[in-house]
Parts: sequence; structure tokens; C-alpha cells
Amino acid sequence: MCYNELLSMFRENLVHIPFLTDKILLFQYGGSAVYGNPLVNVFANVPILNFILAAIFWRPLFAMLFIPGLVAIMLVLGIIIWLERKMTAKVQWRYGPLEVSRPIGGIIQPLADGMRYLFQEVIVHGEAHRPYFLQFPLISFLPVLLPILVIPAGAIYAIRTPYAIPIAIALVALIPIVLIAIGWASNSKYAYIGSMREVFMYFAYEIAMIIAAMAMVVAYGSGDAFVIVQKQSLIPGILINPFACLVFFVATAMATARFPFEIPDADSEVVFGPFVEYTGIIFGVVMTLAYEKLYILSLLLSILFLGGWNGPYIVWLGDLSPAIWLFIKAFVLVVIFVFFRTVYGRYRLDQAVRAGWSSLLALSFVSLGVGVCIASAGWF
Amino acid sequence: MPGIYRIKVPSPDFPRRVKGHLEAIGTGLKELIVPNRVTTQYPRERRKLSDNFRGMLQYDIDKCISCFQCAFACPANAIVMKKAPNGKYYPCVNYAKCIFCHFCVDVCSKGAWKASKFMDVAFPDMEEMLLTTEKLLRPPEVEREDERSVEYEFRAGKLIMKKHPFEDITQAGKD
Amino acid sequence: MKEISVELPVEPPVEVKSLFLPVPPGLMEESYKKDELVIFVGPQHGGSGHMRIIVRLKGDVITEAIPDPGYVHRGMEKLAENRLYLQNIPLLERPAIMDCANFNLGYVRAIEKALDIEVPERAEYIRTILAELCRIGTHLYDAGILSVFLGHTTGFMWPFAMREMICEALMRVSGARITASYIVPGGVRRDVGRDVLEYIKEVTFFIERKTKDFEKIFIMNPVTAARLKDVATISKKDAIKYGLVGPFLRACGVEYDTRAVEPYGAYDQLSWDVVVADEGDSYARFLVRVNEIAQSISIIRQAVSILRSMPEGNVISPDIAGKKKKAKKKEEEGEEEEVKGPSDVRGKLYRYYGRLTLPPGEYTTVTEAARGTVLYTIVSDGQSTVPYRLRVVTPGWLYLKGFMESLKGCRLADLQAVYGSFGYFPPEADR
Ligand code: SF4
Ligand code: SF4
Repeated sequence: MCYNELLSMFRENLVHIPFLTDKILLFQYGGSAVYGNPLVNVFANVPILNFILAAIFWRPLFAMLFIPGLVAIMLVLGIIIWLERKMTAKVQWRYGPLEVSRPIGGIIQPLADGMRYLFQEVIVHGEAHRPYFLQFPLISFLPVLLPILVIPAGAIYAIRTPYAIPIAIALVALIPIVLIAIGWASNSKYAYIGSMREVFMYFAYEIAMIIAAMAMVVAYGSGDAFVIVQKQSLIPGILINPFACLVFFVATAMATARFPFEIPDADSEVVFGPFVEYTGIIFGVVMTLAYEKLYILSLLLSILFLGGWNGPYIVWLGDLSPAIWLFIKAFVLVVIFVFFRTVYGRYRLDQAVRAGWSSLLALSFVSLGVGVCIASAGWF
Repeated sequence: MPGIYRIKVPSPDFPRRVKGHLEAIGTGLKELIVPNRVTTQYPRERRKLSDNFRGMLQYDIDKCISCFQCAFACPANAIVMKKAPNGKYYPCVNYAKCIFCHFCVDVCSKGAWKASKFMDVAFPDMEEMLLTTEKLLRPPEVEREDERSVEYEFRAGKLIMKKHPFEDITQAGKD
Repeated sequence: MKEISVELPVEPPVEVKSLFLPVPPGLMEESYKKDELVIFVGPQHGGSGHMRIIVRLKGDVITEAIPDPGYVHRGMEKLAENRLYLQNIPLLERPAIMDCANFNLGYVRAIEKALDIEVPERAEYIRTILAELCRIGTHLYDAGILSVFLGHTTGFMWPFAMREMICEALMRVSGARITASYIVPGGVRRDVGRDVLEYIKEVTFFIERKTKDFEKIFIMNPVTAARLKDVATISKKDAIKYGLVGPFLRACGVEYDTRAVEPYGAYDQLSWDVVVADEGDSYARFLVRVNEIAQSISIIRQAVSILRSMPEGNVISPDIAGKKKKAKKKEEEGEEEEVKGPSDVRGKLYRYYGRLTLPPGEYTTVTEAARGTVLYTIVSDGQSTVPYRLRVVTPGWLYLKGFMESLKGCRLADLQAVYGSFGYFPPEADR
């Protein structure tokens, strides 16, 4: 039966996490060992629940839902928005959000903000293209979540393909299109200017970013994330090809509108650009878009240059251990990007585009040359 | 006669720019690691106000001789004189208009007006903001959450946020 | 590239007419034809202040900028006509937040000019300190606004924190944090104690130290330099033609400072420099003001050390206090006595100023406020206790023209950078 086939398919490919999906040795008594029942097996005979549990711990779905997928993204969002405000406040001689939950340093402030957004009125102004205006913020989740399919986190992965890195970058490149569509649906002058800025920035960073990523793919000889990470077990990619890392780093800052390239949604110039007409929870959704993109690109950055999920294996975490190493690396990168808010203003659009087409592009070609050299020398 | 100081507007070259980036990030990191906070947490802490602070007014009816001078000098027309049952005129203050210039304090030759350190006041509505003479005389209701007051002090160019214990602000500033 | 204009049946929005916007007739239609974009920046905009700037864009380049000021016009000149000379003091220090002492000083000096009275030396030094504190405060305020317009939030918070110490200094001197109302005709309201002078001196060291950090993170930040350098450059000739004032004139290479040309207060007894730059771009305008902070700090330190060695008291002119007459009488009787003014106006404010009338005539003073020249003209009819006419020309109003002209040829993103580099402050310009 379909149900049973599916169940057995799930069960064959479960993530190995002690306590949850693996048998664990409780104690040894004489010659015989007593094993504890993992969570999945406890409910093995309960009809619906076993199916749900097996599905959740099924590798591809676990990757999508938990790590590096949805839950990890939400975790990053929840912490980083708070951490960003807290760090900025510290540098700026203030305390930052504190009042919502004083004993734990106001960490639930993003939650409170989310609540406020949730109950705020959503205004769709008369000039806007109503269906698209409301749809696009939700559609925008597609290109954010799809790259997760091909970005593996150690043993937790959805699809293993030799084209993982190119596919991920191609999918990430879809996000600006959604942003431009958002600006178009808003039908206002500031949203128009903001979308145009987004378009220009898109052209400024995308080519350099792709070339830098390809330089690393050439150097490693494969676009498969597993191969890439495995080849970095001794020396991380950043030491092999620092130019590519620099280009990818700057391009990420440009792509996610982080400072000093916070140009498309410059609040004092074009009042959040494409998002100028959004209110309420929809604004909350589109506002988190840049953070989600930042997280995805940080995952890629850490896989390509920082050795991905390489790190000491922690036995009692099982499959989660490499995933958590990847998450930590990506999170640190996100924090670094976010920290730039405190030290930089923003460049002008033409300066950013000029930088993208001159120094960044030149540097990316240099990095491609280095990549080819490495590949032909066969260091990896 | 002052001299002329002609500044040179820098146009940083590449190494200078790299240095600038590093310095900016370094300064940010330094502040992140050793924060120099200057803000106070208002309802819990309160800034220590100097003794000549120009806050809400305190009125002493015994000293007033109904000379009308304070009402005449008030730049915001916040003081009106109202006739009391005893036939004399006494001032009322409209805090909706008052700008805390304390000209009235400086005007009164008898010292009937005094400054207090109240400055964060809440009125239930606009009518309440007109304090009649009786209301002026009544001591205000005080609700305070603060435990300490903070004073800014400097030593060798460094800010020291001196914490004082609970400060009594109901008393008028010293003469 | 050749441009082809297409006749399209487009109607400008009704709001252009119904809101009485200062758009020249035909501008909207013309811009439609020329494929230009007319956008209204402000007054509800994060980077416009209380004004509207009508910007005509060709692509990303501004071809024309039309100001629409007046959103914070309070009619100060008219209000001043039915207030006592004394009551105008709090009114006329309010155009510019943080610049209270300079605005106050200009008005008070006009009255002193009319009455022809000498101000005691101690009062002059106290006034100078106050004016320079307000100058530093305003420059810091403008630096903060400039940085937040460039998106640099740390550069916004730090100057405001430094300004807080100046507010505290003003509070210890006068009792109010920003609206001091402290300078009165003939002197100042109260003497300044030794501890307060000590505090002011310490504040200058604090600001000096913190400015070094601020320089690293914002002033010399390559991003800031890139944004401000060669943006909205005004030549020396144009600067004079458009009537720029204050630091913005000096940034164009004109060595003019009212404090140096027509010294008032204690400026001629202190040593300081007029800060000038030649470039005339936004960066020069900003850096001139940054360097003026250092000059002001040195002025304050000198004034504080002179004040320390001075005997306390005597901060109000004996002319105002009516002691001259008494002294004269005594002199006639053969007794020599040094005339000393009081050290406090408390209890006597009305007696001194309540019935103040100026002799008939027109009295004009020019003062160097933080953002430039502020001009006061009092016309008195000689009988009433209120001015017959009072004219205030604030620096903001004077350099608005230059500001708008300099915008031409900039990019849209530069609008806020230029705005911040001018420190334009609508409440000050609108009065
Ligand atoms: S403080 Fe100033 S405004 Fe307020 S009542 Fe006194 S004189 Fe009037
Ligand atoms: S000036 Fe003083 S004495 Fe005169 S009416 Fe006012 S409070 Fe009374």
C-alpha cells in the first residue's frame, strides 16, 4: 500500500540523531546490553503519528524543515534582529532593546515586534496592483527556501547533485526579481526608484559573484558540496583563494543590501525603496527577506571558503553535529555582515555599480585565474 | 584679530582608504568589546538635576503681595491672576502654555515663586493643566520608580556616571 | 544621444494645483515630455526635514530643485511686535534648537546698541562661553543629521551623546537644557560658579577625546569621504553670488566671519582662527564645521581660565541696574566709588526690564550663529514697550538659495548628503 511504502521509504533514510532516531545503549547488564527505544520507534505502531514522525525525520524533509531549513532560518531571524540592535546599541553608547524581557536582555523583542506587525492594519493603497502587491511577499519565500534543497549540511541533505553550488546561486539570483516585482506592484515613485536601484545593484554584483563561485568550483574540480567540503578538510578555501573569498564577501553584502551597500532600500533617501508602500505583517515579511538571503549566502560562503561542516564530531549529536558546525559558521558570518551597520554609511548607487564593474569584476577574474591555476596544478 | 586656519580636505589614496576602513572597523570593535554607555534607564534611574534647574513652579501664597508683575512679565501668558474670596488677586499657572523660562521666578521681588526639580509631569486632560491657586498650593502627587539618580562627571576627559542614592526632588532648589 | 519627445495625453496630478505647490506652470507637462521624473521629497519623508523639495530627475541626476519651505513658519517677527522686549528673549532663541545663545545674543545686542550700554567684562566672557557651547552643540547636531542621512547610525548617536554633555552644561549654567533664556540686556541672568566652569572645561576635554574616535568611525571613514567629496561644489564666486553665509561661505574659500570682522562679546580678546577651506564641496563644508568645534573648544578654555581669575559677581551692567545715577550723584558729592553691577537678576527682572523702552530709531546687529550670519533689526517708535518692527534674518534662509543651486547636477542620493552638509534646518529658516 502507498502508505506503507512511503513509511518504509521514510524509515530507510532517517537522520541519525541519538535519543530521537537511533537506538542508544542505556546500560550494560552482565553480557547483555539494554537499549533505549528512540522516539521514532516509541510510536512505531501508532497509525498516523508514526507516519508524521518518520516523515519529519526523513532526511530531505528534515533538511528542509529544521537544519539548514526553516527552523534554522527562523532561529537566525529571531536572534539576529535582536543581536543587530543590541550590537549597534553597544557601539552607539546605549543599551538597546531591554524592556520587553529585562532578565534575559530583551531577547524576545523581535517577537514583540512581530506581534505588533501582525495586528497592524495592512493598507493596500489605491494605485497598487492589488493581487500582485499581496502575492509577491509570499512568493518571495520560494527562491529563499529552494536553495536549501541543494545546500547540504553534512549528512542532512535533500538532494545531492554535482551541480549543487551553481544551482544554489542560480536560485538565489531569483530573489531580486521578486523584489523588482514587488516594487512594480507597489506602483509608486519611490518604489520605482528603489526597484531600479535593485536592478542596478543586481547587475553590479551578480557577475562578479558567479565568477568568484565558479573559480572555487573550478579549483575544487566539482560543484558538489560534499566534495568541496571534503577537499577543505586540511586547508579552508579562504587561504587557497582569498580573492574569490573577498569578492564573494563583498558581493554578498551588495546582494543582501547590507551596509555599506544598503542602497535599494535606503531609508533616508528612498524610504525603504521597493517596500515603501507595505504595512503590517506584509512589511514584516518583506523586511526579513534580506536577512534570509543573507543566511543562504552565508551558508554558501562557509561551504565554499570556510570548510563547511568540517569540525570536531560530537558523538551525542549524531548527524546534527556537522549541521550545527555549518550553522555556527554561517551565523558568525551573518553577525559580521550585520556588524557593518555600525561602522559604515552607504555608498551612492553609481559608486557601488562602478565598484562592481571595475574592481570587483577585475578581482573576480583574478580569482578565476587563481582557481584555474590551482586546478591545473592539482593541489586539491 | 583672529588668524586664518586653512584646512586641507583630504583625498585619500588607496592605502589610506584601506587604513581608513580598518580604523573604522577597529573603532567599532573596540566600542563593541568595551562599551561606553552614556544613557540612563529613565524610569529606574533619573538624571541628577542641578540646583538651579528650571522645573515646575512652587508658589508661596504668604509671600505674595498680588503685585501682578509675574503675570505681566510672563512671555507665554501662562499666568493669570484670579480673584480669591479674600478680595486679593493670586496667580494661576497654565502649564499648557508655560515654557519654563522662570521669568516669573526672577520677577517676583518677594520670592513667592520658587523652582522645583519636577519636569516629567502628566496631566489627565487639558483643563487640568491650568493650575489654579489652590492647586498650586497643594503638594503634587508623586509616583516614582527610580531607585537612584545619575550624575555626569568627568575626570581627565573621561565620563563617569556617578550613581547617587534616591534623590529627593520635592524640595525647592536652593536659593 | 538624440532625444525624441512623444506627445502623450498625460495630465499632471490634481494635487499640484490643489495643494498650491510652488511648481512653475508647465513644469510637470514638460518633464513628462522629456522623460523626466518629478518627485516630491518631503515634508513626510525620512530625509527632508520640515520642508518639501521638488526634485526634477533626469535618470538619476537632478536637473532642478525647487524648495517649498514654510512648514514650520511661526511668524516670529509678527509675534515679537506685541511682546515686551523682555518677553521676546524666549521667543527669539527658538528658531534654532541648540543655537539658543547665539540667537539670543544677537537680539540682546540690538537692545544694548539702542540703549548704548556697556556690558560688564565677566558677562561678556560668560556670553562667549555660552555662544561657543551652542556652536559646538549645533555643529554636533548637524554632524549627527548628516550621518544619519548617509545611513551611518553610529555617526548619529555619538554626536548626540556629546551634545548631551553640552545640554548638561547649559543646564548647570542656566537651569534649562536647551532654551537657556539666559542672556538679558546688559548682562546675563546669573553669575556662573566655579564648579560649573570646571564642568564646562571638563566637557571640552571629553568632546575633544571623543571627537578623535568619531573621526575614525565617521569623519575620515572612506565611505563618508566617497559620498561627500566633489559633491555639490560651489565656487567662490557663486558662493558670494548666492549669498551663502557662515561655515558654508568659509568652505568656499571666503575668509569671512562676523566674529572677526565686527567683533562682539569677548572674541577680540581671545585668540582663535577663522576656519577656511578652498574646495567648496560637501566634504569641505562638513570639515570646516568639524574644525570649528576645535576652535570653539579652545575659545571656551581660554574664556574659562580668564573667568576663573576674575572676581565673581558684577554680571549685569550698572546702567541697567540704575546704579550709574546713584554713583553720579555720589561722584558729585565728592565720593569716588567703583560702580559694580549686581550678580543676579532675581527679584529685579521686572524692575530692570519690565518697562524697557528703546529710543526711537533702527538698530541692527549681525551675529555669527553656528550656521552663519543672523541679523536682527529692531525698529522702535520710542514710546512703546514693544518693538514697532522686528526683523530676523536667519542663516538658513540666506543659504537656501545656494543649497538649491548646488543640487543641480547631483544625483538623487546626493540630495540628503548635500542637505546634511549644509546642516539645513527648516525651523531656523522659516522662523
Ligand atoms: S516659567 Fe515663564 S512661562 Fe512659565 S509661568 Fe513663569 S514666566 Fe510664565
Ligand atoms: S510677582 Fe510675586 S508677589 Fe507679585 S503677584 Fe506674582 S507671585 Fe505675587
